[in-house]
This record gives sequence, C-alpha cells and structure tokens, in this order.
Amino acid sequence: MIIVKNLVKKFTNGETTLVANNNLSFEVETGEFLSIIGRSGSGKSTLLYQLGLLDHPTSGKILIDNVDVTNLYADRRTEYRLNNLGYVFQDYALLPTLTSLENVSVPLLMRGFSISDAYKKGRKALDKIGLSKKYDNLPSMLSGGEQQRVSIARAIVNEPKILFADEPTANLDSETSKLVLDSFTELNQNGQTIIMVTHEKEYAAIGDRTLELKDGNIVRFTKN
Amino acid sequence: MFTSIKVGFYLALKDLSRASKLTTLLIIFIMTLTFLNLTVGRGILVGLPKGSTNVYDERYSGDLIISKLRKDQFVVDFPKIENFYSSLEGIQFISKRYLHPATLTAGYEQRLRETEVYDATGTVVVGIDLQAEDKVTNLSKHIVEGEYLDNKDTRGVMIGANLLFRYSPLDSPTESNIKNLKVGDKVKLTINDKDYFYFLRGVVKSKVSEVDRRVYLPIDEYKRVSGEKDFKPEEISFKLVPGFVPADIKNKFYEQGLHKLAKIQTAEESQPQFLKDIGTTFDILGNFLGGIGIVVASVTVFIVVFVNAITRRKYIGILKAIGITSLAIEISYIIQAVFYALTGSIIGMLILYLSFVPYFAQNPINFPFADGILYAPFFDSLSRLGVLVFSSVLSGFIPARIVVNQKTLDAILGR
Repeated sequence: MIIVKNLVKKFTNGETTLVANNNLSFEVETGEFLSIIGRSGSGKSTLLYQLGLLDHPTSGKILIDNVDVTNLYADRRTEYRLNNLGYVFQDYALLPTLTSLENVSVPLLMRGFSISDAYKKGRKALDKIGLSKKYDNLPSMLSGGEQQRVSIARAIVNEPKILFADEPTANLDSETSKLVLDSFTELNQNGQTIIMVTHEKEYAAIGDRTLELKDGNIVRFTKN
Repeated sequence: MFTSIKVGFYLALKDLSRASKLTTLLIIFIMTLTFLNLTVGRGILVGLPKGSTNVYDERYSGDLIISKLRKDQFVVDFPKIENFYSSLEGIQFISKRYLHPATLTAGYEQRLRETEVYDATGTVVVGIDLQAEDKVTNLSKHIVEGEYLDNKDTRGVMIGANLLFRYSPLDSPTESNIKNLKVGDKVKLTINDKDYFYFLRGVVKSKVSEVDRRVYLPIDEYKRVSGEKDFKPEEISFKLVPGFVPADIKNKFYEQGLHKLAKIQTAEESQPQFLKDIGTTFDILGNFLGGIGIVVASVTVFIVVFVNAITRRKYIGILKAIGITSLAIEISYIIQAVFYALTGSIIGMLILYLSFVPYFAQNPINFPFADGILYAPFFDSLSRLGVLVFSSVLSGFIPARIVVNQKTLDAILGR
C-alpha cells in the first residue's frame, strides 16, 4: 500500500518558484491500477518520479508498505528501486548496446542471479509479453511497440511491488498501444500494483481509479 | 560489492563488444601512440648517453681496465699484477697498451717556406698487440679508411680519425688537426725529439675520444722507437667471460691490495665524468618527458571516458533508475578505460620490441660521440605500462564518477 501525505514539489529558477505538486494526499491499495491524468504541465510525471523514488519531494511523505521512503539515501533508494519498483518510460529507455534479453536480465544480475539464471528468467519475461523470437535483437532492430514491451519485461522481471509507467503509449500507434495496455491489464489481473501516467482519458479508463491533476492540484479522484 | 563488480564487468564487456569498431580502433591507436610516446621519446634521449657508454665499454675500456695511478708514469710493479690476473678465472681477453707522447706530421716534405707551419698535431702513440686489442675492443671493425694494421708491419701506422681535420675540424689558435693526409701517405712521427717515418695504413673511428686521438704502432715497433728502458703498460683492458661480473673481478684485485699499484676500474667507473653527467641529465630529462607523457595519457583517457560517459549520460541515468549501483557503473567505465590502455600498451610493447628496438640496434642514430640506441629495458617499459594502466584507472574513474553522481532523473531527462 502506498500512502502519500501532504506531498509538495517546488521548482525554483532564480526568483520564480513553480509548484508542480501542491500538498497532495492519497492512498493506493496493493494490487490496484491507478491512472494519473492531466494536461501537459499539470505535474503528473513529477508525481510519478517522486512515487518511484527518482526524485525527492520538497516536503511531505511517501510510505510504501509502511516504510517511509521519502528521504532514503541515494544508495538505499537505488537498492529499493531494484528490489521493489519497476519502470516503463515513455521513450522505452532501453540500453542500446544490450540485446532484449540482456536489457531484461541486467536488474536480475544486480540482484545476484548468475548469468544463466538471469537469462532463464529474462526469457520467461520476454515470452510473457510475446517477444520470444526477439531475445537477441538490439533495441535498434525492434519496432517502437516491441521496444516498449521489452521495457515492460525489464520492469516486471524482478516481480516488483509497484510498476510505474510514464506515458507508455505516447510514442506508439493505437494498435500497438492497445497491445501494451493489454499487457498492463493482464499484469494487474495477476495482482501487480500499477501506477500509470497518461494524457489519454480512454487509456486511463483501464485502471481501477483515475487521479486527475491540474496545476499541481488533485481535481478529481474517480473510480473507473 | 562482488555483485557490483560482476555487473560492472558484464556491462563493460557488452559495451566493448558492441562499440563501433572504428572508434575502438581509433582509441586503441591513440593509446598505442601514447605508450610509444612514453617509452620511445625517453628511450632515445636516454639511449644517447647509454650508447655513448656502450661504445666506451666495447671499444676502449673493455669490462675492466687497469691504468697507471695519477702519480706514476706507468703501472708500477706490473709483473705482480700480471702474475695475479694470469691465474684469475673469468678473464677472456687482455690487451696491454703502452703510451708515449708524440707529434704526427703530414706533408712535411712539401713545406714551401721556412716560416710555414707544418701540418702537424700533438698525439699519443700507442703500442699494442693488434690482434689482442681487436679481441678486446673490436678495433678492426671501426676502420673507416684503409685497413687494420698488421703486427708484423714495421713501416705502417694507424691513426684515430679525430687527428684529421676532415673528421674533427679543430683549428684553434693553439691546436689544429691534420688537414691533408690520406691512406698511403708518408707521415712523420716524432718521439723524444726523434723522427720516424711511416706510411698511413688506416684510419680508425670509434667515437671514443681516447681511441680516436691516438696513433697506433705494432708492439715490437713501439718498443724499438719509444726508447723506454722500463717497459711497462699504462693501460690493460680486460674482456671477461660472459656471466662474470666486472665488480667481482675488481674486488679480487682489491683483496690482493693491487689497487695500491694501479687504478682498477670497471668500465662504468672509468667513464669520463662528463658522460656520467650527460647520462644523469638525460635521464632526468627523459623522466620529465615521461611524466608529461603520463599526464597526456591520463588526459587522453579522461577525455575518452568523459565523452563516452557524457554522451551516455541518459543511459547511466536509466541504469541507476532500474537499480544498478553507482559502483557497478563506475567499474564498467574503469574496465573500458583499462581495456583501451592495456590493449594500446601491449600493441605498443610489440611494436617497441619487435620493430623499434631491433631497428635502432641495427641502425643506430649517428651522433658525433655515440651510436644512439633506443634504450628500453623490458621491466622499465613494463613499469610504464603499469603507470599508464593505473593512470587510466584514475582517468576512467573520475569522469564516470562525475556523471554517475548526477541526479538520476536529470540524467534520464537530459536536464
């Protein structure tokens, strides 16, 4: 379970201060699929980065399974991300010199798996999202949709507590977007907690609830 | 820690195996040049005095040289010394040299006026067993004109090249070298105010001033003309059996107290002070240049790794985001830097020892007082390789650390 308490994120540039997240408080249940929507600049990605421990809030608290993760030291944050969180980025964020299988297996190696065990698990993750014939392809040899699915496989291979997705369909056509979203739905049905940022209301609707942000404030929190 | 090292190796291996071949070759080429810059530049600089001392050992002093004490005219009680070394193990060849001051005059028959100065120069006439001398100093190999003198030749003389103006253009108010003399010409040798006439058989050029400013006569002829009653050598050069250490043999002379009768020196000790000073100075200069080379090498690796890390800043951010530790990422960059430095250095070593060193040994650089060689002892080069690799570890670590320490999100978003 994620508990967010009075979360504030400000960006200061000289004398100008921009409040990206303004005193946000909400909870996300374990196994829930939460969609975060809003216009560009509404603060939805900023919120996701803080929940995903990629950024620090200016004030407020984030508790994951009753652990305050707000101000962990850099090394502890990295370790926490490795063991508990998975990410799917808008631009896939695959490592260009690694094949699909290697991209997926790297987090497992970091968790102490041997190369053969990591590859075994990596293959399973790729099979799960329908990329069993693309193990040895470098990202440059994959389509956008395939790259995003490799990215999903990498995010779930460690069986994370929470899967974060930042506009995962932004660079994909509608058909491929549907494939990606179907993968999320399937994962969620198997108990995976997912927090997804999108600006498409239609896509947000596949989640259990939708959090709508405007100018850093929660304007709506609806059940789908 | 172990996992970070393992992942670092894994990432480095993948990066290296999939990097652009051209870029990899270019970086390795730069590292090879850097290694050669570290070893060859210094090697030639240090090789110059080293070549000079080699020439001194090989062509004059031998491995060990006994010479008269400063206060004496010759080696006193020579029979005692000779008795001792005759029974000494480790001595392969011996050459005894008998020296006497003399004046060499050329073209003495062509003087037109009474006031005209003779084409003459002061010198030292040396009586030697030419075959014995050749075994110790290979003198016959350094004949540049004519031929090597024969022991039975009573009418011939051999001279050092530095007595001739064309080899050593000395023409000061007090001293000048002989200008018109060629092989086959008749020369006058004045010893103890007596004139002796010989034909010039050969000119020797060894690049050792002691050798190149002397006039050589066969020992029997020398005995005839020197007029010495107490016939004793001033120099005895020894060539040792390979494997024997000159300092050990010298110590044996010392143990017998023979150093009180003559100066007993190893080749290194007998070298003129200026050669030693040049050697020391060039060594300092060589190390200075080597130091600059190390700095250049470090900066090169730093730039290579920094550019590599900066251009891949986003991916470093992604690695951190998915839970790869900073240590693993840094290790991957260090390994890449070490790979470039090590591969470049190993190729440099191969070029150095399979090409440059043999080439310079076959074709030494022709300096007036030495045959310049490329001085690059293997362990010296190995230590430079070690320094280069160590500096590449530091130069790889620092830029990687700079980039890795940036905020993960800033790296991913390119802020």
